[in-house]
Amino acid sequence: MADEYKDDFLYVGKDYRRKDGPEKAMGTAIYASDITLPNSLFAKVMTCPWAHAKIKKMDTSKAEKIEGVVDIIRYDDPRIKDTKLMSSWNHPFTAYLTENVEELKDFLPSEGFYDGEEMGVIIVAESEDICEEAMNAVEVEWEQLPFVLDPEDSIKKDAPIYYPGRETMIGNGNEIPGCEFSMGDVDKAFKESDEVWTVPVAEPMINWVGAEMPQVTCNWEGEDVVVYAHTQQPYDLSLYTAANLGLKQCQVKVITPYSGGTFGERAFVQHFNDQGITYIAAMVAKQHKRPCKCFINRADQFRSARSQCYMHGEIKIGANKNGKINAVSIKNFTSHQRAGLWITGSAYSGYDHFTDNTCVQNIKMEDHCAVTSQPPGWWFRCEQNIGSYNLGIVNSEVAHKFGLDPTDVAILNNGYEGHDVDYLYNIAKEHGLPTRDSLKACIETGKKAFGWDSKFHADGAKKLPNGRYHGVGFIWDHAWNDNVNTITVGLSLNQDGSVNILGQRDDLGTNDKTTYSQIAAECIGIPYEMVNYRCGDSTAPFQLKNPGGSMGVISQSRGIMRAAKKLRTAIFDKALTLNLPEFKDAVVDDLDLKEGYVFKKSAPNAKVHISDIAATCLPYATQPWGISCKGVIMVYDTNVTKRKWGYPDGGTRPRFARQCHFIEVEVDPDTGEIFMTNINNVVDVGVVISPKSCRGQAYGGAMQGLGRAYSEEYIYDKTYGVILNPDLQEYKIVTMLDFETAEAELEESHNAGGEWGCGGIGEDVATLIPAILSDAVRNAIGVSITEQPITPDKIIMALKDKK
Amino acid sequence: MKDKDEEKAVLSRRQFLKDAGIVLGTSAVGSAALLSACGTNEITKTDTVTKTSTVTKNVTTTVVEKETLPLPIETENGRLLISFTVNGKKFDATVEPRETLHHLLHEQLGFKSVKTFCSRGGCGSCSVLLDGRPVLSCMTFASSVGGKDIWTSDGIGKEMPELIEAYIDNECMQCGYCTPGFIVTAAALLKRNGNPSTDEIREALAGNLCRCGTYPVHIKAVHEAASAMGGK
Repeated sequence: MADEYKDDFLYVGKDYRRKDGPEKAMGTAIYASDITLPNSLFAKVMTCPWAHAKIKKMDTSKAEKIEGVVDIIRYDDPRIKDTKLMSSWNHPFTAYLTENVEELKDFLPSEGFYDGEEMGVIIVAESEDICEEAMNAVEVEWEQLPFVLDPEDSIKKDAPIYYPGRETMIGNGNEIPGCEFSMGDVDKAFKESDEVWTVPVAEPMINWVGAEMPQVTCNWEGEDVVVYAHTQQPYDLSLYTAANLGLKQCQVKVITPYSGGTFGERAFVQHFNDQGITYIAAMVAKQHKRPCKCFINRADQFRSARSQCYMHGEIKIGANKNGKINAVSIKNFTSHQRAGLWITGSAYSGYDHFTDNTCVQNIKMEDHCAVTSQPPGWWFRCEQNIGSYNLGIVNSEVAHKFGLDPTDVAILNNGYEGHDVDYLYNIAKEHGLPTRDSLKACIETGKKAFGWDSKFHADGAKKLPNGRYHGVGFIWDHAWNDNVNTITVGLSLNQDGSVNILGQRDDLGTNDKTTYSQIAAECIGIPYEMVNYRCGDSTAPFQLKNPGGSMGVISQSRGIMRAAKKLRTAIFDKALTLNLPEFKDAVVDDLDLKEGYVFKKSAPNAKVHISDIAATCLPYATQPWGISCKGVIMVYDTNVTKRKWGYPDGGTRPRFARQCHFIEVEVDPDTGEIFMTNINNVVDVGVVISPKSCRGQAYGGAMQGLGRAYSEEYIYDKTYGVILNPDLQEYKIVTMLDFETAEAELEESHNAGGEWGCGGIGEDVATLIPAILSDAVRNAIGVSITEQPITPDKIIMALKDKK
Repeated sequence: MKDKDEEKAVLSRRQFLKDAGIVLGTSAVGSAALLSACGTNEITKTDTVTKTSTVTKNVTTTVVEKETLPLPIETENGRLLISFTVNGKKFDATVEPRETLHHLLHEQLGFKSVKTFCSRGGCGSCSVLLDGRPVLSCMTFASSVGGKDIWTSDGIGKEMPELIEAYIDNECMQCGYCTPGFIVTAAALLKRNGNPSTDEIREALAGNLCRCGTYPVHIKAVHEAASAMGGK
C-alpha cells in the first residue's frame, strides 16, 4: 500500500499564528520549575566532587544547626537502607537496544564513580538557599580511588575495574559489548582504490544545556502522588516513579507543563536527574506531609549528566580519483558510564548512515564502548551524531583529496545498501511512492540559494582583503524519518463542532500545538481554528510519542489520520440518522466533510455545518434542574510500527528523503578564530506542515550543531578527573554574535515517511552540521581538522604544520 | 475594583515608554552586552544608595532625592522591608539580605516570566527592567530595589504589544523559556533607540542565550517591532 498522496492542502503548508506564541512571548507560559506549591519544602542531593571516591566519614552536625534545615538524609540513614532505583537496563526501550539485564541502582550510594554523581546526602530545608548553605556545611572525608577518562585506556587489561560485578555483561569489567558490522570485502577494495588514507576523528563530550534545569515537585493526594516534572517522557516517569515508590502506576500522575528545552536529554527517565530527584521529592513530601521540590543547580546539572559522549577514532578511506568511494573502515572508541544508555549499534557509529545513503559496497565498522569516569547520558539532538559525522567527514575527505566539488562527490555516491540511486527509487516506484531524487533536488536548491558555484574554490586559495581565509563547506545525509514505537491519538468532537486532539503533553518547542492542529484539520475536514491540542498528563488515555521528538510528526500524523477517518465515519453515521433533506437516500460513502460542512459528494452546495450534527450526537438528557447534557463523539486509533521507518502497511523501507547544508566561513590566520558568515540549510521534509516552524527548526538545529563543532566541550582536569567548565561562562554555546546570516530552504518530495510523506526536522540538522565546519575550514586554510571542536588553537597549529 | 493607590500606580503606556528611557541608577550587574542595551552614551554616577544622578543621550539630568529612594528597613528577624513597583503596581516585601531580585520576583511575588537558566549572570533569561535599565535579576540583591520601578516581560508586553506580536509572528520562541528575557532586553533597546540597526540589535541581544537557536528571527522581529512602533 502506498502512502496517501496529497498536495491540494487547505490547512497544511500554511503559516498560522503559533498557539503557544502569546504565552511564551509574554512569559506567562508555566514550566515545571515555575511551580512551587504553598508550604513547599526543598531538597538537594550531594554530588561526588571527585572522579572516583568513597565516603570515609561524613559530619553533618554543622548543617543540622542551620536554621531552616528540616531533615538530613544520609547514605547510612536507616530510612533508606537497601533502597534501590530502577536501573537503566530494565527499561523496555533500553532493553531493546542492549540486553535485558535486571539490575537496580543504589539510591544514595557512599561511592561515586564520576565527578558529579549524585550520592551521599540529601538536605531538606525551607528554601533552596538554605539547602545550598547546609550542603556546603557538610564535612566529608573522602577516599579517592583510581579512575580512567579515556575509553581506549579503559578497555586495557591494566585499567582499574570501574564497575565491579558487571563482568558477566561487560567483557573486562569496563568494556561494553561493542559492535562490528561489515559489508563486502574492505581489504580487497582498498587494494583496488586509487588512494587509501586514514584520518583521525574525534567528537567532544557535550552537554544538553536545556534552558530549564531538571526540577521536580511532588505532592501527595491521599495515597496518590502528583509529580510536576521537566521531562520528555511523562508516561515513562510515572512508570518508574510507581516502581520506585511501590505504587501502582495508576496512583502516579505526572504533569508536564511547558518544558524549557528537552532535546532528547529529558527523555532519560532512568537517570537520577529524572527518576532519582522524583523519588526524593516524593519521599520527602510523604514523610513530612508537605509538598517538596527537588532541584539541581546548573553546575550539578553539567556534572551529573552529559549528552553526547566523547569519541575518538580513525577512518580509513579508499577512493578513486573521480570521487567514487570504494571502501570505508571505521574504528571508534566511545566513552560511557554505567546507568547510561549504551550508544552503540550500526546507526550510532556510522554503518547505517553509509548503507542507508550510499552505494559504497565495502564497509567495516568497529565500535568500542567503555565505561569511564565521565557522567552518564542519553542524547541531545541526537544519538546519531557520531554516525552522521563519520559520513560527513568521509564525503569531505574524498572531495578534498582529489580536488573535487563535495556536492559532486555526494551525488556520485548517493544510493542505498551498496546500490546506486536508481536502485533506491525503483524500490519507491514498486511501492507507488514518488521517485524524485531527493539529494539532487536539495543540492540544486541549496547551490542556487547559497551561490555555491561562484563561491566554491580550491583549498586555501582565497584570502580576503581583511586578511582572513575564505572557505565554503557542504554536508549531506538522509532526512530524519524514524518511526519507532506505538502512539495512540484521541480525537474528541465537541458540541460546537470543534475538535480536541487528546494525548499526553510534553511540549518540546516544535510548535506541536499548531502543527498537529493543522494536520487534524486537514484530515478531518474542518477549519484549523476548530482544532486544538491542549493535551493531558501521564494519566491521559492517549499516549502520543514524544510530541515533536525524533518521530513526532511522522508518528503523530499517521495516528491523527487514522483517528480522523474514524471520526469522519462517526460524523457521517450520525448525520444520516438525522433525516435531513441534504442527505436524502445517501449512505456513508456518499458523504464528504470539508471546511466544516458535511455534504453529499454529488450535491456539494447542499451542506450542513458540523456543529449542527455535533449538537445532536446524543439525545438531550434533560436533568431535573433543567440543564441539558449532551454527549460527544470520541474516537481513537493507534499507529504501530515495530521498528524504524515503515510502510503504512508494515515492514521497513529505505530512507528516500535527504538533506544537505552549505556554509561560508572566514578564518583568521593570526588568531585562529572562525567567523561563520552564512549558512543555508536545505531539508527534504517530505511535506511542509508549518513553514515558519520548519525553517525555525532548521536554523535552530544549525545553531546547535555549530556550537558543538567549534566551541562546546567539557574540559577535564586529567590529573584529578574533574570537570573544569560546568557553567555557561566557560562552556560556550552559540550566541547572537556567532553567525551573520542563516537561511533555510525546504524541499517536498512527499517521501519522508509520515502521512502524505511528511517528515521531521530540527534534530537532523543539529546532527549533521558539525562535520560541515571541518569541510569549510579545510577549504579555507587547506588543512584537514577532523577532531572537533575546531578551536582557535587547532587552527593555529594546523597552519603552523602547513608551513 | 482597583483602589485609588493601585490606579495611580498603573502607568499609562505613554508614561511607561517615557520612564523606561530614563535611567534612575542602580548598581546594575550584568554582561557587557546587556549593559550595552542601555547605550554607550549613558553615564551613571551613584553617590549613595539614596541619591543618583544620571545622564543619557535622550534625557538630560534627573536627580532623585533621598525621600523617594527609601533605605530598606530591617525587621525583627533580620529581614529587610522594601517597597517598590512591579509593572506599575506597588509592592511591600521583606527579603533576606542575601536574597536575589530573581527570587523575590519569581518565588515571593509570583512573576514567573523571570526565568533562571544559568543562575550566574551568563544567560539573560532573568532580565528585568530596573528603573528602565535591563539588569540580571539573579545577580541583583533584592534589598537594593527599594523605591525602584521594575518591569518584567509580561508587564512590558502589555505596554508594547507591537514587540510581542512581532515575536509571535516571527516565531522567536521554540521552547520559549528564554523568550521573556529577550523581550526585556529588546524593549530596553527599542526605548533607547527607536530604529536600531541589525548590528545594534545583535549587540544588544548578545547576552541572551537561546539553546533552541532562535537567534536569526529575533533580529527580524525587533526590526518589525521598531517599524510598527514608528520609532516611539
